[in-house]
Amino acid sequence: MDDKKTVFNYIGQMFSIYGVMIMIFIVINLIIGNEAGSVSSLFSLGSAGLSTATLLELFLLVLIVTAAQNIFLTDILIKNLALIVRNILFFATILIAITAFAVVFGWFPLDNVAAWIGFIVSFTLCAAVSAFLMRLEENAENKKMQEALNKYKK
Amino acid sequence: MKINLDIDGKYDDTEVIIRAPHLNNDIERMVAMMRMIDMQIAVRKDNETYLLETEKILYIEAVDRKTFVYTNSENYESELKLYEIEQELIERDFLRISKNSIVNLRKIKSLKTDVNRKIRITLQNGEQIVVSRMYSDELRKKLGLR
Repeated sequence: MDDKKTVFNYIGQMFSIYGVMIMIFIVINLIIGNEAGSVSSLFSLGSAGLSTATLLELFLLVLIVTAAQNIFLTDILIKNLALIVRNILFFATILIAITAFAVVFGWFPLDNVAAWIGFIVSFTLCAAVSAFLMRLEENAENKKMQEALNKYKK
Repeated sequence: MKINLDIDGKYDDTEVIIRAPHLNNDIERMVAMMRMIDMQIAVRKDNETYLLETEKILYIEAVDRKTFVYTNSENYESELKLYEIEQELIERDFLRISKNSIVNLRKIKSLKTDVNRKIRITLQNGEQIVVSRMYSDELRKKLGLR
């Protein structure tokens, strides 16, 4: 029996992600806020803090991340799909969302090719490493369970 | 209902006699539960009753207050409730894997992790069933992984 999730569970999940994201942005802002303020709207106030617009944009992004997480990384909507495919779909959705936000809200200058390449490469690399590690963990767990089952059946 | 017990060393074997004016659901369930002591389960299909060896069962599922018993190639219905079957079979390689199903561990071909810490079971006939998150830890424990 699984606990049925209520809307409050989803809201809780969303604000947990939002809280972590804001903490990361506060740290980044304290370190590079002044320099980044001139090139990215995310740090428009410099090291002084994050603007209301940035907070709302990040909230919207978290809304999409939470939705993608529940769609692709649970079986609420998709019952039968390999974990690796779920991860690829999840990370692809996030990449598309961040790219769209970057364009619409001016997170990076559109003509700064190096920044775009840096962003896409680093995101893809993080996603690939994360998916690879998940896959390794999944394979190890499957092997362990299968061995335990074979031992039980003897 | 009167219950008479006649325990005497003169008897060679255990015999249960039920006397009743007519056969009803209670009697059928009583008989079914006694059958399970002999590793058999009374099941029905197409209005016929069969005695099925429990070792042939892949899994048992409760759907809409009915209990269905699945083997490699057949499915039957049982008069017993899932919890009644579970009580008898839990010590015999059967394990509850969700609110509405129990599985015969000896009939599992493979196990795979699934989303939300669930486990996907592939049975010997290729059919797949999912162990809910709540019962996944129980399965791991039963297999000696915890």
